[in-house]
Amino acid sequence: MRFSTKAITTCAVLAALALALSYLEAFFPPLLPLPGVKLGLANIVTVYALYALGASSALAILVVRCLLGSLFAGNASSLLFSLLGGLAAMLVMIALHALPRLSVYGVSVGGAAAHNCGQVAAAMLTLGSAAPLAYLPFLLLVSVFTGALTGFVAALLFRAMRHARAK
Amino acid sequence: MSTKPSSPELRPNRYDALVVLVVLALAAALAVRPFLAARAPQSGALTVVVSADGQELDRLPLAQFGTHTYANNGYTLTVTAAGGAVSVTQSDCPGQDCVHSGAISRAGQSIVCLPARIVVELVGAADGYDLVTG
Amino acid sequence: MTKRMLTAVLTVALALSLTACGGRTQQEAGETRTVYTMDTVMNLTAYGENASAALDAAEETLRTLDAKLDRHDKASAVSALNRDGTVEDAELAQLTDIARTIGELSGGAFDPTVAPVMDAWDFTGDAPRVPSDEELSALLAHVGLEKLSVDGNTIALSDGAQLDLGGIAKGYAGDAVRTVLAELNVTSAVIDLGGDVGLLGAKPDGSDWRVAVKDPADPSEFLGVLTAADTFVVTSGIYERGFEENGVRYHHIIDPKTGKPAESGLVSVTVVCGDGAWADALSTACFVLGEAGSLALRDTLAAEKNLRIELILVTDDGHVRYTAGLAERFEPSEEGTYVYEAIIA
Repeated sequence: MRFSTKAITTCAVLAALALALSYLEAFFPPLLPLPGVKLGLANIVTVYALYALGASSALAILVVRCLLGSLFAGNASSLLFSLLGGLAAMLVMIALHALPRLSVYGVSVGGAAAHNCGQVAAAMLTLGSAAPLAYLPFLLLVSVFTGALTGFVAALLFRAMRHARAK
Repeated sequence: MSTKPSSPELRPNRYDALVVLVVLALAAALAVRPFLAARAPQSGALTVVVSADGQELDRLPLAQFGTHTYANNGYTLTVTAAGGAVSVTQSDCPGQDCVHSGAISRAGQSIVCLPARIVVELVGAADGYDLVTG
Repeated sequence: MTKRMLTAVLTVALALSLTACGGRTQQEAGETRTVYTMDTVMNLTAYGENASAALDAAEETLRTLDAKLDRHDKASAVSALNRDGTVEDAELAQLTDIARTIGELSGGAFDPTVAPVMDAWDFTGDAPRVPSDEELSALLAHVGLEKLSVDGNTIALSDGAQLDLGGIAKGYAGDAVRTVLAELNVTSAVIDLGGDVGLLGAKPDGSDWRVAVKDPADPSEFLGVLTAADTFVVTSGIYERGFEENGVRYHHIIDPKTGKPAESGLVSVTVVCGDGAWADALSTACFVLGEAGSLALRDTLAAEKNLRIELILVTDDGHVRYTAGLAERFEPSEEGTYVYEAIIA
């Protein structure tokens, strides 16, 4: 697997973008008083990278984003949450994007749902209790919307990139 | 797991609706059990169960819980039961999610403080009794 | 067409998500009021439509009573009595008379004049200590039912006696609260006064209340479950207030004859009695009297006062004995190492 300089640079830029987006969404007032209910803006980058660069690049960007994100937040335990959530989302999105007829919307919703499952799993592991499971149904409902939002933005991004390439 | 770059379908279609339905079905399936537990007739009192790191610290009828303070993992929480509900009234954890969760008053509900790794749960009438004397 | 389908699905999802909010909270849960008064936490739970208003009235009653009976409150009637040696107050006189009667019936095991001794031990203060024998004898000179007299609405103390109704006040308050709630059409309520329990009626579904009794050896465990309705269940135990000094544990139930923590062979006594004030005072009296004395007192109450009480006595050698009236109503715990015996009397 040889990555060109261009590929590496693109990955780095996207990782930085993902990091910035996750930092940005912290400024939104929490939708719910529950841990983990986020807009998931960084997933826009993940979805884009998955299609534009391939699974391995998308994965690399995700891991880098999670590591740096928890480093900057100064919170080591958040790493477990973002990694489990992110990897779960990644796996589901890789599987879904292989289905040619599914649009970015479906892939994003699947990714958002998986992300929440991963986070609840992380919470259950940390607490040693099944209590966080009670949050999951509601989080899954929310993920339908955040996934749709992510998909929408990603679609805009792809259209813009297509127009740019067509010129 | 390396895949070739591809160009995605950008318009939502019926397959996306299918994904959404699967997610909703999953949500419904998970919601059924706690939903049933909360709707099941309660023979009176609820029990507050407080645990830290998965270890049970306290198990008391809601009506007699009063106020208790717990410390775990470097954070201190104050849990108070009043007016038939229990809530975390004070915490020095960074996110304050537990405090913002408000009060819970039905069996199956819980308040979670992740930094402190403390869970406050309400369970249905405890095995065989409504209240405690002594 | 597929875009519409997606929109439809999303709308359904939104609608469903809204069901997670709100929802009824007052099915059979009743309404609970928490009141911090009489040096303890009281939880009052009432069921029914008028619960809220009734609880308001009950809370008011509790505060008024506390203001009258708290001997540490300089404005209270009890305080005035202790300061001036005499006071005139119909309600206080009535309660004091009950206390005095129970004192006499129990041969002095319950004694509301034991206040000076309690102060010396300072169980509820910041510096509990073990008073010396000389100190206790000096203080005991001021203790005794003969130093307390009630005549109509007037109460009088002599020989430096001081009145402390702490051993009967909570039970009395329980009676008052139960009356207030019943007057306001509440038919089912639990009055939890710091662990002493008053029951108004049965549970909303008509069945009796199931009251778990704490295990004195491990208060987070239970001895068993008592089924009861419309009565008071009061427990006195060594694990309640107390302190440790030089490896010895001193509990707060003082024997008025010796001025020291009672050593009667019991570690806890639970009294089931229809009257709250009596239940409260009797639990202390029975603890001090010990097993034989308690059973004798029970017989006396039935014979002379037509008052039926039931007892659960936990001895310091691991026996849990309960009176005949509880045979059908007390279910011993499956775990634990006690020997359970019904007293056929």
